[in-house]
Amino acid sequence: MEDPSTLRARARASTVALAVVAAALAARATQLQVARRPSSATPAVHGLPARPTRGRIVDARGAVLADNVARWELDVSPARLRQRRGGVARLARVLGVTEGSLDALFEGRGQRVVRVRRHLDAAVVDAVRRDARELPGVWLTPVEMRRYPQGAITGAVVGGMRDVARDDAPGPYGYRLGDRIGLGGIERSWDLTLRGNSTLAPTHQGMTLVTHLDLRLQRAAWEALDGVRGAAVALDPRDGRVLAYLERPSPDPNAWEHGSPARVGGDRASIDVLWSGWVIAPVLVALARAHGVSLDARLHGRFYVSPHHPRCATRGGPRLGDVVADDCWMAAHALLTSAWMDVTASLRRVGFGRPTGIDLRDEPSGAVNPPFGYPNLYDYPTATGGLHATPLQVAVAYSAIINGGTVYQPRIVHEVRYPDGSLESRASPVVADRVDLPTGESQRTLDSLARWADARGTAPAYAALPPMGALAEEDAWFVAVAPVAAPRLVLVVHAPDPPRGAEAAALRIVRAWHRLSSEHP
Amino acid sequence: MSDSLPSLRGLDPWLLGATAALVAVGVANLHTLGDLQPARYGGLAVRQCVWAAIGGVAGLASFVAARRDRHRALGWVHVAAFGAVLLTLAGFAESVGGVRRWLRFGPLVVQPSEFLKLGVVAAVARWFGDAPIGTRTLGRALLGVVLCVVLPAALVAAQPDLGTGVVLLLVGAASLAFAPEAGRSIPMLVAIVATPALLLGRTLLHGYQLARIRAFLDPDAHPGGAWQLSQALDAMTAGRALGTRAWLSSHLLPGAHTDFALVAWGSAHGLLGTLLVLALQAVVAQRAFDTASRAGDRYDLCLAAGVGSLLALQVTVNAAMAFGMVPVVGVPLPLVSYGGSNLATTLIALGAVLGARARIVTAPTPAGAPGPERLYRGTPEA
Repeated sequence: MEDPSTLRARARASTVALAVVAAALAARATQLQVARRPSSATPAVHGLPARPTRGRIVDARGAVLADNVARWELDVSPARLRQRRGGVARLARVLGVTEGSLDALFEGRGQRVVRVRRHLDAAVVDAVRRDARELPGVWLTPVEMRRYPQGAITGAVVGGMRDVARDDAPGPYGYRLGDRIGLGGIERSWDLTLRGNSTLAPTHQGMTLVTHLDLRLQRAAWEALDGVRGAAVALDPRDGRVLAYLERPSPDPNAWEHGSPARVGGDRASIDVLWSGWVIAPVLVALARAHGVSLDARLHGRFYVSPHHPRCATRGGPRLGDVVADDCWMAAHALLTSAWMDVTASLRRVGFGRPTGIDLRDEPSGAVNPPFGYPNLYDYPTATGGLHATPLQVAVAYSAIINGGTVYQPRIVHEVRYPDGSLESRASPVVADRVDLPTGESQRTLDSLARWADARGTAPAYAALPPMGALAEEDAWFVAVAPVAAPRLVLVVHAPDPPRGAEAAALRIVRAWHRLSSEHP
Repeated sequence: MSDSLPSLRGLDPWLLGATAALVAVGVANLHTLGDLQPARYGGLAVRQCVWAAIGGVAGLASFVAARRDRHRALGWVHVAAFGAVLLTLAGFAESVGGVRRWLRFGPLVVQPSEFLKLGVVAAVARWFGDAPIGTRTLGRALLGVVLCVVLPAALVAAQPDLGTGVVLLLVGAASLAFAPEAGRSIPMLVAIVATPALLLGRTLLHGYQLARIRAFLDPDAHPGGAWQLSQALDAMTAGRALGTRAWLSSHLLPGAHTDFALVAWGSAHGLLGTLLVLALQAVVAQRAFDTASRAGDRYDLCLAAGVGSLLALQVTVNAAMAFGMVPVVGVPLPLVSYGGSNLATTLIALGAVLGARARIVTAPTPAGAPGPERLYRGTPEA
């Protein structure tokens, strides 16, 4: 045990050690600032990027969704340029402007740096390089411009770039005025990783993001939604991978390189919408089953029955097991409320009324409002008006009821990789919740959906669908699950304009998915 | 003068003056950078002034508390910062790309790991410096090493912020060296840290951290990784003896306001400016160690020496990095680098040292007193 005098002596000894370290640092500083020769000439052209190269974004098969192209900025220190006789005039000639205009630009700037040009073309860059010796205080800085080879097709999910705003800088992420930062989608949500992951590691190059997206499916969905205002989300129900995520119309982020739009405008795929109707029936039935309601349970009492669904009114009310196949979606809700089930809480369990946890920022939560549990079934259309959901939430809920009850957080980014391709981290499936579905309930739901689609028969296209997919439809919504035997795709299309646009688009997307799966399983 | 007002008797003018001078250097450096490159650094000097004011008030409060009695309340910095780091890991911090380091309180953005640096020092002083002799068991020492040093460092490393995690370990080890049970607590710390480090090896490091080390060892083979360091050395060299603003006005130096603040200052003010900053930093650390050597109390000794070690470590690592003597690591220069959390933490720590020193040098010494050991209240050494 050290005595006090030992500890105090240790403190005094630290002063000596401190002096030694300080002397060593001072010696090194002296060597650097006195003995070392400064660079013989200041290069006019910086050979390396001034800031880290932003990481690329690729799809699951390596197709590029976002990368960079080199451009140059030209900065001038007027005081240094004027040290060379005729320097300003020479620069004016190189740039193709008048000397007077440069003088006006440099007026009163002293030694401050003036940005003269952005996004220089190659000819001007070559001219400046050629005259570098005659242009002191002029230098070119390579900067990157973001390029989106898929343009608007991936605009909603990838996002774009904008100039940093005064409110952003300086923030904890090292933003500075003049920087370009992500706007919307992956670009915004993963901005720090794409920039280099650390404000303390400026030399660190940006990370590459490998997503679960399948560009082929994304493109097929884009084409299927041609002429439609809407959105589509495709999930793998087995683990929550997001295979496609788009909306139409969508902005082309390539057009933002020269400006800063106020907002992306491309978030319809995750926007709140008023939603009700048949599409939710399979979910409600599955939740009732999880709540212990028997398939033979029937609704007793009065409830609204659409004249389009006469079978629902037979024999004193529909059986729960037949609700989906017989198109009796109103009954599903009635059964739940008559079973004293907390519909609101149950719907939250499968992802409604709360963010799904997707790895995109500012995800809307939607709402499961109390009116949804309103028991007066004569007023059912009003009662259902309380549910606000997003296509993503619908896809998550369907995934849960067909995979056995596991509610996965949807994930877009699969891997983060270093610029050299080595792996930095890989996302694993995240389970958000579990619903205790009875054994076989998932397959029964799929069979019911297939029977419904088979029985519908209003369009020739449906005839081919049951073997490969199960469908649910409600006005602007269309849900497809495929294949029935072992689902690997849950597709949700929301297309309110024109009416029934979702139906045709979903069919085309599912067919494209089947074709792609068979070509490249 | 009213008793409720803090007495300035015993205030160390050297420590106070050097601290104020370094804060002024930091603000002046940011002003210079903002003047030369407004697009990048504009407005930072004003923000740093705001943080200096906030830190100054907190430091004054710390001084007042330490001036009256041993500043045990500093231990709560550890608890609060530890809790805040847990909050960041629990998802309460904004997570971008898996990095969760900052908590936002309205307009203020705080980095809890910076406060944890002082927290580790305070916790070690409280746990080991305040422990009555009868309670000093092996198990208690082990628990203290884990709770005060290892666990905070591990949590910060998990944020992920390995650089600050390592600094916490070093600060913890330095603080333990001045605690009564250094003989067994430091080997414990080494054993706890070395075991996983040896087992996991380089897997503990991220790819970019390995890249920095490779670039430092072989700059020609990794020109991209060594570019920042090469810029820093060029900037220092361009400063010569008296300094020039020309290099900064026409070149880019990433981190000129944070990790490479000393380089930016040295380039603009030359060797004289560099030596001035190093000397001021040395004065600050020396006064902390001097306070420790005068302390008549284990807690004060441990706290003052811990603060001195904290500052000396950060200055040494930062300057060595800026001068190209060690690979680039994310350690700021105390009181000079831009960043509110680090500035406020340092001012609180120095307020405590100033207060302890004032109390020690003004304490009445009764005639016939045996010496400083008499102040070891209630727990005299055998």
